[in-house]
Amino acid sequence: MSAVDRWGDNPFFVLDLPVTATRAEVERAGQKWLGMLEVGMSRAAIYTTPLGVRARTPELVRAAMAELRDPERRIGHELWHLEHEPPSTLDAEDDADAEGPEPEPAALRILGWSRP
Amino acid sequence: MTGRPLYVGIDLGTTNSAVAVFDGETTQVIRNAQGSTLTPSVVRIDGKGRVTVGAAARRFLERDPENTRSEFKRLMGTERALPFAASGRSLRPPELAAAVLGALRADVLDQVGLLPDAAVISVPALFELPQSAATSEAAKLAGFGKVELLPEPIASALAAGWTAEQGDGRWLVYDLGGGTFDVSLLETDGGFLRVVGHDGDNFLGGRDFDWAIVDWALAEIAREHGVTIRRDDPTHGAAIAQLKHAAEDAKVGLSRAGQVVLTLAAPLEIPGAAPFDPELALDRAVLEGLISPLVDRSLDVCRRLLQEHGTSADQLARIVFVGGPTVTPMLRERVGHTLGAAVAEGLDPMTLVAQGAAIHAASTALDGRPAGPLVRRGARLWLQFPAVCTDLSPHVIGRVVDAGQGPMPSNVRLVRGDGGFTSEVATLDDDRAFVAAVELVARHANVFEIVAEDAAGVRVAVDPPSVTIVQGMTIGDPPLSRSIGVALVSDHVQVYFERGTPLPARRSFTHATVESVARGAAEAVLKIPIVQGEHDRAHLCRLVGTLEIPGHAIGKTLPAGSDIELTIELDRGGRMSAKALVPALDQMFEHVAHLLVPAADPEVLAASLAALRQRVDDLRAEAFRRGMPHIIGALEHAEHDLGDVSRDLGAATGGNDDAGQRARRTLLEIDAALDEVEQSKQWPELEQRVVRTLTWAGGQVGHLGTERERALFEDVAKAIDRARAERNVRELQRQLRLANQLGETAWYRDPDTWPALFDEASSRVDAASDLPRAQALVREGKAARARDDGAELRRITEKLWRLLPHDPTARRASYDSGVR
Amino acid sequence: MSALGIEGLVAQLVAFTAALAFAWLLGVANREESRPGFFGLAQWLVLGLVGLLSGAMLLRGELLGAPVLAMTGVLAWPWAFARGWLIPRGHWRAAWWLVRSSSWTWHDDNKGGALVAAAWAALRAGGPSRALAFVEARCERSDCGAAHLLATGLVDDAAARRWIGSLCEFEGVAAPRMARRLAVQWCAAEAATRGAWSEVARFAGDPDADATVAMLAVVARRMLGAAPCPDDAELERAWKHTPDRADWRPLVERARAHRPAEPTATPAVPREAEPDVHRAALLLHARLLAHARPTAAEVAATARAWDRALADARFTDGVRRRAAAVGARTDALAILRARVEADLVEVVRTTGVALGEDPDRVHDTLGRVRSALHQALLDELELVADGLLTRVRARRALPLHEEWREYLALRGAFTSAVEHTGPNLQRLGYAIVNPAICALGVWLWNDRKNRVHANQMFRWLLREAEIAGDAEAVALHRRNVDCGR
Ligand SMILES: Nc1ncnc2c1ncn2[C@@H]1O[C@H](COP(=O)(O)OP(=O)(O)O)[C@@H](O)[C@H]1O
Ligand SMILES: [Mg+2]
Repeated sequence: MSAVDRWGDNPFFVLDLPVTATRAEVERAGQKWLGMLEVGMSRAAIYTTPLGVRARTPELVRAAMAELRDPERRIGHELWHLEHEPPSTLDAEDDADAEGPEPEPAALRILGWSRP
Repeated sequence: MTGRPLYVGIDLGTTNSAVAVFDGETTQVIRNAQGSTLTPSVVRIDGKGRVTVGAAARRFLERDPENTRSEFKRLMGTERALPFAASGRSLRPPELAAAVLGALRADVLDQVGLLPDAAVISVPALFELPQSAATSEAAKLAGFGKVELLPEPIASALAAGWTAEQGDGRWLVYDLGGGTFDVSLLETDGGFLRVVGHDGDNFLGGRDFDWAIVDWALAEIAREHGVTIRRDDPTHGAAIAQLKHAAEDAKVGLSRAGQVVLTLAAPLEIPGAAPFDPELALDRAVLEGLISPLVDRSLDVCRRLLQEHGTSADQLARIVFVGGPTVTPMLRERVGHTLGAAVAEGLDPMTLVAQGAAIHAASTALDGRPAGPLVRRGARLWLQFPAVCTDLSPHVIGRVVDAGQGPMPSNVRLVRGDGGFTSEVATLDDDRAFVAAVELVARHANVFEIVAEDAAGVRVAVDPPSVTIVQGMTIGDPPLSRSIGVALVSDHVQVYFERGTPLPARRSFTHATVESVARGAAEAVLKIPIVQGEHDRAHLCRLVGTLEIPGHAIGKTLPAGSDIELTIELDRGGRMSAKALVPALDQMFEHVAHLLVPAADPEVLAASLAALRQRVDDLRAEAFRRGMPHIIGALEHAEHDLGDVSRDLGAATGGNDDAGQRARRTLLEIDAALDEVEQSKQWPELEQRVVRTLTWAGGQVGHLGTERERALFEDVAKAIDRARAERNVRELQRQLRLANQLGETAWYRDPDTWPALFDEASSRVDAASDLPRAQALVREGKAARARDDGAELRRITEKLWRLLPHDPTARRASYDSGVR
Repeated sequence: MSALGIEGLVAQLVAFTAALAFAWLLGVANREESRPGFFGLAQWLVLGLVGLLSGAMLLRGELLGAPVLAMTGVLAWPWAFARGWLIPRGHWRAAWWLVRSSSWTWHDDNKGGALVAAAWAALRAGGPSRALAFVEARCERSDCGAAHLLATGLVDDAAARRWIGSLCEFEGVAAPRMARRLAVQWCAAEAATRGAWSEVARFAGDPDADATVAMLAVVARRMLGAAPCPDDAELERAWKHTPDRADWRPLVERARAHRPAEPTATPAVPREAEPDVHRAALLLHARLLAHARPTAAEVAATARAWDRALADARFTDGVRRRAAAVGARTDALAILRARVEADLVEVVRTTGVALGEDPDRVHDTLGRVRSALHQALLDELELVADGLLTRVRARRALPLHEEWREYLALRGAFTSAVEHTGPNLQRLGYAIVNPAICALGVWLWNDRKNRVHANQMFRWLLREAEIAGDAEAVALHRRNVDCGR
């Protein structure tokens, strides 16, 4: 599992709960999301994290509930809770110049190394 | 479907089985034709092929053991079929279990008037995948369309929690059955139940009590009648069986009376002695003396569990007893007293599990009523709500799937039957769906009427018109009992699902292949072993399935390092499926060779016993030689366990499969313990090696090394210091290898080195792959030495090395895994 | 016909001397062992004779001489004909047949040359599946020659860069020069299509670089503005010598118009004015994970932020209190620290940031990340090397180009591991890869007679042994490399 997934799957994000949520609130939120996903309500389908928007699935919700039931695991997840910020856009712009200035797309073609 | 729902729960026990139903508010234990709530898990097939189950079959257990089978639950998940001599049939364990389940299903029909189509079946907490899968199969064979499995302790806890007043805290479910002991630590917090941990002893149960009584009886008989009866003498078998039966009756009797007399159905017949009837009187005090070592064993397990989860005795709110032997008053008292917790009273230890399973069926909405005809009344709603719920204010979610002829509802509210609560008005959104929060009355079945109105505020009929939510304790999804993962080539385990993961579950990871598989190569196959267990070393876990990618099935050569995206899926019934997507091939592989619990083959076991003995001996010799007293204790423990194994092995060779399984498990445990011992002595050993290597290699490099090598050696020495400070074993080993290599390089420059190496190599010349050539080289070498030609001697020695066998590569322990 | 006797004799003599001179010239030009074989020489002698005869016939007005002369021309310059006529038109089968006789260009490996011709023609024909299958089957079966790598690359779109790229790195030309020349040309052009001009520039010094590659390299240097930056005159000169220069004019124009940008300073990691140390660390961590190409400075800043948080008594006490409140007994801070380190290691590994070595800083987060990275890279190297070694010991052979791929993969893992950390890993890693690659090379050389590839492996091992300072390995591989001579 990648670092992005580890954080993105944080139960507090998946269930959309604050870290102070009680056990009952966790169960209630889980039950609500599962029901909404089951009947196919579109507003249940995604959730936001500091790393961007992710898809909410019944498996994720169930796993999130189980994680928060266990105090040992819950405390670990609490430490990764972060009030949402709009995910930064800086990556998009610096990917663009990754390969340096102005490529010559025709190079292989001119030499006859490409499909017609 | 009409009337009250029918939730069915079944306790499929090793000794006894039971079935209970739940209607949303109360549980009812179903009685069988004999009027008993317990049905012995015994199956008999007579000469005419008639199958009898339960008490009627049990009567034949001693009289006709060839055609009567019991305790087949212990063989679940193995491929062993049990023969029935008279009818010539032989049935696999799931088929036998299906016979019992079928009988219970028929009992429900008798008592309730409905033949259930769905049920929750309880399984031991530590069942592994093959065993769970066999149980699911049994249910299917018995005619259940849908089944769900639930760990027994959770079932007990649910049943106990359902009736008990709300009280938060930790509690212990102490389940002592016919042959197994399970203990679970649970916790309720605000009415929510959580499993904290399990432990147990697969080979401790009521049966052992019976044997303790038999041993006592044998001693008494020898004392009073002067007749020696021996348990290991086959000619005494019939007498022993008779005594065992009497012992069990006496034990059960002592749960009620203060004293009983061991009564036999017929006088004992022993070869070489006249038939006689030993009238042995047994009282509670004697029984207590006999069983207290066994009870102590169970208490040790309890204490281990409590300690593991940091629970002190005063944190324990109560103890729930489950299983026949816990009826014994002395046991209840002693366990309660020792652990210092209140004993939950008023619960039937024999049927608690079945009741809990039935309650669980409600919370997963596993209604056992066969599907009836559909009657449409108004706009159809697709509703999602918990049938049973701990939370006092859950949500009801719904969506209009078909408005029918009538108008489309535009808002919805829910009104509780007692009129005490009306939800806020929920407006239907673009998906024609709504979410409404409701409030429940505690410990009641709450009926909510669904009041829907159209845009004009006119009431619209909806179907269903109401929902029922029962407030009470639930566990949610059934948790996985043991972790499941993939064995990697490094003998580590990539865990996919940790113990406690709610089922169903699905997860994917990306692995990389370690070796190329050539297209079409018949013998080349990539294996992905799936294992279950809590060890981090793969070979100590149980192999439960293997996904294979064979050379003949791939479209092109699969290069080493290719990605494999593996997805493992578990359903609620403990069935596993896996698929591997190989992007490089653009192919998907799904066939998992599911494994059964391997039959305990005595020969294989004997071989691994011998190997472990050897390992213990080697370790001990080493421990004495190097003065490592701290590992001697651990080794003695292992030695003792090896003794047990060898006794079980004797029994297994005699046909006792159960003993074989126990031997197998103990062997694994010893293996793990020895691994630990080896690891604990690894560090001191390494430290010694550091000193030796640094002195030797340092000397060589300082003496004969180049400038560059001396600088390199200094770096390595620094790295060694750092690895030592971090106690990083692997790094230290690597750096030591490097230091050695530098030392050797320098050492090879020493003119005196090569003659010595040459002598060493020529002393092993008999093992050479090409003897004549090796001998020729030896002659050449001798000549070169005589000439004092160092360079030539070195060349010859190196050639010689190539002809000598090198160390065989380490065996691959991790089930031949081909992925990392 | 009598006059023909003398003319023929003269012609034969002329042809023979010419051929000898030519062969000698080629032999000098082609370093080491790869040169036209005996067959090539004989072919030229015969064709030269027939050519002279038919020329004489034509001179005497016998029309039959014309087609014979043409045929002779085609057969004498099969590669030129295939390249100029058959390949652009996609006649892959004809190209294959014709180049089979091209010993002059392809030396011992005219089979490989034929495959290159077929693969290239197939590419031009739009990759008909019959043609691709034909080439692939032959590539898998064949067990010699570097030209196969080129052919394999041409029909394997996804991995073309790996195959052909590895051919560019062949040293000492144990391969027909044409294969290398084409590979270099392809690689330079391919890098140009990606805009990876620094790669293009590196081909300038290649002994097999042709005029096109030279021109591309000049353009590249101009694009990069790397000193010495070529002026317009130099650009024009390079362009003049390029075949098909009209097609390249737009590129050269663009290069002339290009003004290399001033190198922008790497944006400093913004100082978060965040009083909450934990939140500050989380924010930096999020940034890092969202970033496609973080710098080493950003990784270090994140690590420092975590160090600060974990040293902050207010934060750690808070966590401990909270853990007690929810009933957790495990050390939440230790778990947090482990996860931070695992995340950072992952970021470094997947994005290829070079952390370098810093022997003095080992106890902070960054130091532990470094050490974990070091372990992970070595572990992986060991697994890959072990997989290869096991297979080689068990003698489970793969098609040659797949063996080559295994070698490249292990070599790549080693190289990137070294780039990630530093010299200490070079030595440890070398001790891991050397036995595996050496065993593969020895197997290829001794049993499978794939001298070309084995020799390349030994050369690489030798070079790395010298860097690692492993005197034993240096001596061993010197001998191994010399075996080829
Ligand atoms: N009243 C009793 N007192 C003591 N032991 C009993 C009593 N009733 C049954 N047992 C013992 O309980 C065991 C069966 O327990 P049970 O819970 O049904 O087992 P399982 O869970 O393995 O099916 C048998 O060994 C039986 O002798
Ligand atoms: Mg039981």
